[in-house]
Amino acid sequence: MIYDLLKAVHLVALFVWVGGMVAAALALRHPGAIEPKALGAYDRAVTTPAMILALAVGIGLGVLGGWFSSIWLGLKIALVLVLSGLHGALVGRLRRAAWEAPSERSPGGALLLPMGLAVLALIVLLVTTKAI
Amino acid sequence: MTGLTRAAVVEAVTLLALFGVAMPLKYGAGVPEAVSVMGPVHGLAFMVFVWFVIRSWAEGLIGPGGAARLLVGAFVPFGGFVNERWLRRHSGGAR
Repeated sequence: MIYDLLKAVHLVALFVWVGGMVAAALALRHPGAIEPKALGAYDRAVTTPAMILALAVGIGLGVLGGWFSSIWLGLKIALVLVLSGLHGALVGRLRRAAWEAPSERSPGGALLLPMGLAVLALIVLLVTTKAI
Repeated sequence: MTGLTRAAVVEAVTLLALFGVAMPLKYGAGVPEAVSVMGPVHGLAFMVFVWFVIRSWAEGLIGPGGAARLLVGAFVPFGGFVNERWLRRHSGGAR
């Protein structure tokens, strides 16, 4: 029961985290559409705490389920590190955009969103199949 | 203290606790639970630290050399404390 509840918390945190990443990536692609300061504040209050919660609960699930000796979990952790790195890159660019003059801002981070979604797809594939 | 500096300290303390307390308890006193607890705690601290390093690099607060230095330091016991001192000296620091 606790395992299932934690799994639900993990999934909700993941959805919130990835949703925030998509918003940040779109804001960087379309400067002026969303104020970087407002999105930065949202990220600080919601997206980053959701990422930390997803990581913490994910580690807890690995411990409770005894998955840490599995190859798929090792691969998943490596991919999660990449996903959180992509999030870090998005937030860093967003914070830079917040203190840059609007005229200095240019569309960027075009590859971050597709890369993040590809990594997410691989993570989901590993978790659902546990094939290796 | 900035977010990156704080993350460096937490990462350093958990690494020391893992190597200096939990592993001796496991292999010396036969208490494997210590590593079962500290391993995941350090894993989380390490992931959050890496996130802070990449964020600070993307923001332009540190360069690629600084990011590499911080990441290498995270693998060495006491390296995190050297990182923390370097971050304090580093002009502007990382917020």
